[in-house]
Amino acid sequence: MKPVIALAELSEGEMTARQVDGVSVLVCHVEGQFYALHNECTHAHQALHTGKLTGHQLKCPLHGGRFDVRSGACQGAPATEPLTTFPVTLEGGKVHVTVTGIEPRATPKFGPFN
Amino acid sequence: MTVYRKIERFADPQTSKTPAQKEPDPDLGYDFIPKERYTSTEFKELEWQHLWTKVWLMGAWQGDLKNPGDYVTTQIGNQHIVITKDENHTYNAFYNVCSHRGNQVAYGKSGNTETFKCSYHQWEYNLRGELINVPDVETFAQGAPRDKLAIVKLPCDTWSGWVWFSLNQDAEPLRDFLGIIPEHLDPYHFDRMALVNDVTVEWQCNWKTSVDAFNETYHVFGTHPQLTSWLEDMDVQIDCYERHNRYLIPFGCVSTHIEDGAFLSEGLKNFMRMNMMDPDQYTGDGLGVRRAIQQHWRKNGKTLGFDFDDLNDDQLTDDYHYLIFPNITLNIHCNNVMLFRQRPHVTDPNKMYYDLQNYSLIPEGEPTPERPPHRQFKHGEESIGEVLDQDASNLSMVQQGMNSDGFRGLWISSQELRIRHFHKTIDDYVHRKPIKWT
Repeated sequence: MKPVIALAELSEGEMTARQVDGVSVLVCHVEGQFYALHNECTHAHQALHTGKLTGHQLKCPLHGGRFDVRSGACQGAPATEPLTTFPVTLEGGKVHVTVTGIEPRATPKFGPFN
Repeated sequence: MTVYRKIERFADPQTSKTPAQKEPDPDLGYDFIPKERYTSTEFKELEWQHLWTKVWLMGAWQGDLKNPGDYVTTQIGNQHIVITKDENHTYNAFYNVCSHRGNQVAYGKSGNTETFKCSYHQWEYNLRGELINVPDVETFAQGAPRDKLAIVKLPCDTWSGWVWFSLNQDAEPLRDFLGIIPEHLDPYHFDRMALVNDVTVEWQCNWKTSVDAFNETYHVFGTHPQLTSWLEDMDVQIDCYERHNRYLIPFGCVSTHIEDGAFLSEGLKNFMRMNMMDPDQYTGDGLGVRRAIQQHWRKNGKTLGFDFDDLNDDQLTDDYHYLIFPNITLNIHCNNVMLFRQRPHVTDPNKMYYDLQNYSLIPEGEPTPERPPHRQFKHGEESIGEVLDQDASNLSMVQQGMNSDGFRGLWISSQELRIRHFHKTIDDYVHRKPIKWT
C-alpha cells in the first residue's frame, strides 16, 4: 500500500491521476467511496483522468468507452475489456493504493513501433 | 488543438548529407479527393494500365540473393515474377511463366537452383530465363527456337540493398525514377542492415487506404494516444518532391499537443532504452531527452558498434519517414527501418496485401541474426505490434466509408499534405478525372 493522495484533495464526484511505481493510477471519489483503477483505457491506451465521471460511470475522453469505477467493468463501446482495479485503504487521512496486476507493456522487438 | 511548444532541430542543413531543409509546399488546392478511386474496378484497371505497369517496383531484398542460383519470387497484380542472381553475380527479373504451356518455373518464395525446370513438361531455363532444353524437341515440327522462347525479361536494377524491377520494358533508369531518394537515404546504409521480420497481412482495404494511413501524423492522438508521451505529432516537417515525399517526425520528446513537456514519461524512458541509454542514469527532464539521446549516440555510437558518421543529429532520434512512390513506406531510424510494401489485390479494390518488413543495423562484431521465415495471414489472425494493430483496426472501417453513399470524399488538412501530393501523383499517372488542384 502506498499513500497516493490526501482525502481532502479529492472532492466528491472528482477524479485525478497519480504515478505509483511507474504506473498511472486513476483515483475516483464517488458517493463517499474512493476507487483506484489503471489510468489507461483498454481500447486505445488513452489516459482517462480527463474523461467524464458521472456517478460511478467513467467515460474515456478519446473514443467514449465507458467503465464502472467500482469494478472496472466495461459498459460501453468501443472498449470491450474491463479496466484493472487496485485495492484501496484509507489511513491517516490519505488514500493508499496497491498497484497490482498490471503487465508491463510489451517491449517492441524490431523497432519503435513493433 | 493547442500547441504548446516548438521542437528544436539540431541538423545543420549546410553539412547534413541527407538534405534537411524544408522544401516549399506545392499548391495542390483544397478540394475533396474523390472516393471512387478506392473502390472502383475501373480505376483499379486504370492504375494497372498506367501506374503498376509503368513504375519501378521493389522486388527482393539482396540478402535473399547472396549466392549465384539464389532466386526470389514475387507478385504484383496477377503477374508472377522471379528475380535471380546468376553465375556472373548479375541480377535478373523475368516473368515466372514457362514459354511452353504457361506453367510457373520457379517455386516457393525463394530458393537456390542451377536451372529452372518446369514441373509440367521439364522445359529448362537458365538463371537469366533463357531456354536451354526442350525434351523431345524433334516433336516440335515448327522447331523450338531458343531466342523466340526465352522467358520475357524485365528491367532490373538494385538500390540500397533491394532488387527492383519494372513491368515497363521502356522504363526510365531506376536512378531517374528514384530521383532524390538515393541522395537522401544512402547515408543510412540500408545494405548493412539485417532483415529481422517479414510478414504479409491481407487487409480489407484498398492499397491507397494503407498508404494514406501512414502518410500523416494527424491520426496519432486519435489512434495512438500512448505515443504522444514520447514522439511529436504536430511540429512535423513535410516535404514533397517530384513523385516521392517525406516527413520528419521528432522522437524522444513529449508531443507538443501536451502541455507538460517536461514530464519524463515511461514512453520516453523506453525510447531511451531502445537507444541503449539507461534512463536511471539520466538526470534531465522530458524536454532534454531527445538531445541527450543524440549526444549519447555521437559519444558512444562507435563503442556500441555503430557508425553514424553520415547521419545528422536529428537522424539519431527522429523518424525520417519516406514514401517511395507508389507503394513503399519507410519509417527510418538510425539503426532500424520499418518498411511497408503496399500491393493491390488481384481482383478486389477493397483488399490489399500489406508486406511488413523490419530491418536492423547489427552492431559491429555481433553475429547477423538468421533471416526469419516469411509468414502470411489475414488481418486479426495475429498481432503485428500494438501500434500497427491500432492502424489496422481503422482501415477496414475507412474502406467501408469509401463505399458509403453518404461519404463525399477526403477532406484534407495541411497535416495531410503528403496524401494530397500522393493522389496528385496518382492522377499524373492515371490521367483520369483529375482532382481540381487549384
